[in-house]
Amino acid sequence: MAKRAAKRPIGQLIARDFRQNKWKYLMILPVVVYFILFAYKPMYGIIIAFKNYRPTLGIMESPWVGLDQFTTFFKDPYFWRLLRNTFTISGLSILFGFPAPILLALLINEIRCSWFKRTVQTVSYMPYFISVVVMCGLLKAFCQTDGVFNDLIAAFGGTRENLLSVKDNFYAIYVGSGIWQSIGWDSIIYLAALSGIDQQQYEAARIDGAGRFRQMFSITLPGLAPTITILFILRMGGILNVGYEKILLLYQPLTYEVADVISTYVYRKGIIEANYSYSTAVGLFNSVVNICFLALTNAISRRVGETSLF
Amino acid sequence: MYIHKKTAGDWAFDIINTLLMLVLVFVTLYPMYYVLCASVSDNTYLVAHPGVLFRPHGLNFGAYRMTFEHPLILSGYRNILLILVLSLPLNIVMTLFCGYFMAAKKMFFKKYIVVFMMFTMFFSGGLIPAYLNQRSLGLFNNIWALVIPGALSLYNAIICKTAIEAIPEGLTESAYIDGANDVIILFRIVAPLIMPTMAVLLLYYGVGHWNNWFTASIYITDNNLLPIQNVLRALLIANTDVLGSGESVGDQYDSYAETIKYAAIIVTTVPVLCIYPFLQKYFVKGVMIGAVKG
Amino acid sequence: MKTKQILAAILAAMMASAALSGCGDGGESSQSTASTQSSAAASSGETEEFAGYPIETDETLTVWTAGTLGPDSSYTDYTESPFHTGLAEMTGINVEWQFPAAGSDNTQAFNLLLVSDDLPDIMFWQIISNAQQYIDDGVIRDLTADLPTYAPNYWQYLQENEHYDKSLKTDSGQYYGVGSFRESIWGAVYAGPVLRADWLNEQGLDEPVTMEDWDTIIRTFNEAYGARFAFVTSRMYTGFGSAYGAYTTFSPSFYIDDNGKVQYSMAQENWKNYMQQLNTWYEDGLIDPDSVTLDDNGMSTKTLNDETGTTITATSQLSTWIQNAESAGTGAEWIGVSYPVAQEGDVVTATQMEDTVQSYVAAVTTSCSDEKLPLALRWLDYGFTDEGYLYWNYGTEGVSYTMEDGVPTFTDTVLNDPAGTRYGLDKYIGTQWAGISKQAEGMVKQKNAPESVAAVDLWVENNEMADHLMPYGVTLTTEESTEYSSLATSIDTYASEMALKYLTGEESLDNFDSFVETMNEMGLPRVLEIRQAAYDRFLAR
Repeated sequence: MAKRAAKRPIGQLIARDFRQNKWKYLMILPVVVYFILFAYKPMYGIIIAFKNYRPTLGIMESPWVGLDQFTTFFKDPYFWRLLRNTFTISGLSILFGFPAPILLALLINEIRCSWFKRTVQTVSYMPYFISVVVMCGLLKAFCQTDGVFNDLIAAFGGTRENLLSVKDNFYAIYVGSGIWQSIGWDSIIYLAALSGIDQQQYEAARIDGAGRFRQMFSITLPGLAPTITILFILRMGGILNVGYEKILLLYQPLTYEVADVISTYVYRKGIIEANYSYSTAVGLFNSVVNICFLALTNAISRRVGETSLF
Repeated sequence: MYIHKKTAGDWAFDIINTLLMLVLVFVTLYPMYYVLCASVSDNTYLVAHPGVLFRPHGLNFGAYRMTFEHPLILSGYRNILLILVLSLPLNIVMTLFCGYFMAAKKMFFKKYIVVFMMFTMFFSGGLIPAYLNQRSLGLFNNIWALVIPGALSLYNAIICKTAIEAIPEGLTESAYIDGANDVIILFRIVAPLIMPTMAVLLLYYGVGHWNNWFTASIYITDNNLLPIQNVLRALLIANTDVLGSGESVGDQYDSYAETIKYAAIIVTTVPVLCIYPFLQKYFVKGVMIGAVKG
Repeated sequence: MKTKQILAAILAAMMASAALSGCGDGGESSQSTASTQSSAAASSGETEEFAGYPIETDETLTVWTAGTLGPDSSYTDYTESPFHTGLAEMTGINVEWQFPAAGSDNTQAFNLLLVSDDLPDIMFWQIISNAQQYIDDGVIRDLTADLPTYAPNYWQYLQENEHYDKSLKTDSGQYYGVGSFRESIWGAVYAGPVLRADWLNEQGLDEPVTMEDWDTIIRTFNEAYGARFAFVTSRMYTGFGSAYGAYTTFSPSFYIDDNGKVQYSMAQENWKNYMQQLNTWYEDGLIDPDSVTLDDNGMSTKTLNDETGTTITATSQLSTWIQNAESAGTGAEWIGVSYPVAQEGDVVTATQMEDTVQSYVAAVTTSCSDEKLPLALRWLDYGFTDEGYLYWNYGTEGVSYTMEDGVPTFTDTVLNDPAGTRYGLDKYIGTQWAGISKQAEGMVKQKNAPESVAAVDLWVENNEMADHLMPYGVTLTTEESTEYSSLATSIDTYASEMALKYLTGEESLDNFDSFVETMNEMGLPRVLEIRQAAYDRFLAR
């Protein structure tokens, strides 16, 4: 903080700040009330991570167990494997899944024919609406020894095998189907951001003789940069969030070694008894890791690119 | 406008790009086409031939008939429409407020308030306290239970903030000098400038409400208040083993066990697909130019 | 203590007489509902003779349940459902049914119900292994003192069957609810080996008895039709384990051995021998490699396309395949055959089987007042009266069933329901899944396809699995279950992972000893110890 500011009494500073920004504070008031009412008021539920929650006793009456839930998790023989798989799956999803919609948006942007452009946009986001259950069902059928994928492999002289039972294929299938399902939907936000780029820049570049690639790299991408950065920071803040549903539908004991992640493990544990305390503790652990990644990415981005969340 | 002559490189780029897009259209459109074909096919045929399907086999609308004969289907559509009509204006206003605030500069408490809000993205009390909280607020078993708690998504607000930050500062400053307050600036100047982003937000919120069966499954106990997704879920679950055991339920054969899954996708996706082209026009390039340069 | 009890008794007696004279039915009773009061009320005795059903009363009971007894999906709610309205008519008691909204998760709904301090009078849910906790925490009532008086038929039913009796009281001897029973093991067995009878005839083979027979059949089918042994891993249950005395295939489980000791199925030498056979078949290309990822749908595809002629499955799937074959005109004839044995004449010990006591139990909650308790129990007892048994299993005479030679027989209204038999059953009867009654064997037989009935007849013949089954009523204490779950998940994960690796040969069975050793290091002995203690307590009930 600047020294000059420190000389004035803090009260005056605040009073002036409120006077100047009263409308902004007024605007944020309902938002803050909303968060207090729906996020902070029920926040006390976190304490069940440190208790042995019993539905019949309620949150307050359940007995305290300290860090037992956490030690159970950390001491589990599979803890490191789960952590490793979660990071791998999430990391690969970010590595390939994050740039894909950006690329798509750039390519769509380059389409000159307007009806074709609209068609591509509309069609590409359709898979987003196919439920995971149905998609995984189809994927399983495609991956069987007599499925479509194997027909292709056989056509190129490969040997048929059940693709989903091979460990090495799991990540490719998981990440690939994820991209297929969300590439169009995720590109929508970039398409919107593209429309904010000043067209005169392109014309100026063309007069300077810049080709399509040059324009893409020196005008379009920088124009998208803030959106990309923010979405990337948010994505990094969810690094441990690998949903269980899709994995549950695709994995089986032979691929546990690479596919079993924190959420699926907690899910299986939940089958024995509805273990709210345990899953809350694991969720808390995930959140802390996620926040670290978010803060780190945010700090790097603020240094390098001047765009940041806070 | 400057007329640009296409170079050989441009031609190559356009051709490759078009080809790529055609491939993309194929791999994304085909599944939808598959779902459509599957939904009107003969159930047994579908079981015997999973995988590639180029046309419907045995044209059978039984799955659709079963879907539309469900006593809750009409109320399901009605309820989701009501939710959308009530939610979307609220969503947009709250998101604009929140995004505008986060995009603001030089505010003493901004940083704290942003952290205060961001905290909720990572920590929540979990299902049970949320449930008790909503019951105590009276947001239980009525339509508002599906509207008010979903009033704002911070994720969307951050997207909104990013768009607002991209607006040249000069525009808002001059409005300040003219004596306008923040509310006027937000709705008169900022909002029109971020129309494409608002269209995206509208889509995000709309589809979010449309797909959200979970909230209703917890906070609604009256079947007549259920939105469409829950009704279809019930229909699909009724077509699978209830206790999950595989215990014989006698002649458990369901003539539409497979096809109804696909019919459900069509029934819930088509309305959303129809909306998109209307929003798409906001993504046209150069919306801002007039405002910025004019 | 004693004075308190006497006071409570007087109070309860006053309340009872007030209720009888008809002036106490003003509003909801707000009295505290300590369990001492209920036993006091019972011991004070009911002065009026029970006049039979329908009971004349203005009271309404609230009953919560999920996953069973829901109205058929063609009705908006239960007020349109013949079963629910009929039950109210027969018992004379008006019931307000509460179900989670359509399409919700039942377990979650139950947990939310518990925290909502808005309990119904009766909950019908899978509480069999947590009952003690619910009593201790004041959620459900201890019915020990009241059952003989107000639910005499049910009480007698328990007295006649030791296993049922043990299952429906806690380790400390408290009766906690009215159960859901299967009349015999016939309804509890629904999976086993099936094969293509038409192929068997074509090849001039007999129905298999021993593993050698199976080996021949699988090899012959493979040579003649290119078909392989295929299965959905989760439906393999014990598979061919019976021939080896192995109690599981791919999913870990516990069983009781001949000496009454609790054992982990996958740590046994028998299981190793069984896996050895499966591995041999796999290596010889006789097991479809897709089996590790197949779901029911994929399996149906394989059967329709003649890719398999032998498998283990459940009757529901068997019916589906038969119908599929009919509608596709493939001419495939699927039949159930006996579980294999080591030597001809041996008794089958390891099969798929469920407990004849289901995990669903109807418990009376603490928000049911003492005045209402007799009514609630009368309502629960109805399914155990002769008339109620008929109603729960067959519905209304003349509508859903008729008496033919003294045997209740479903009418076409039920069997030929346009949507399918099971929808017809959902409309009229309550025991199709879990009902508050005894599930009649005759009902189960009528609802099944003839092929399924024949299959189950074979599977239950000579079957001693019941002696080895871990009863559903075995209860872990709170402390035990915490420790248990922290150990068991990892062991189960490890075991099921290894099972498939043994199948595919990725791991050699030569290293079986180190597999068992690893499980022991992971805490298997402690897990068995906990299970054993719980089982012993169950036996001592």
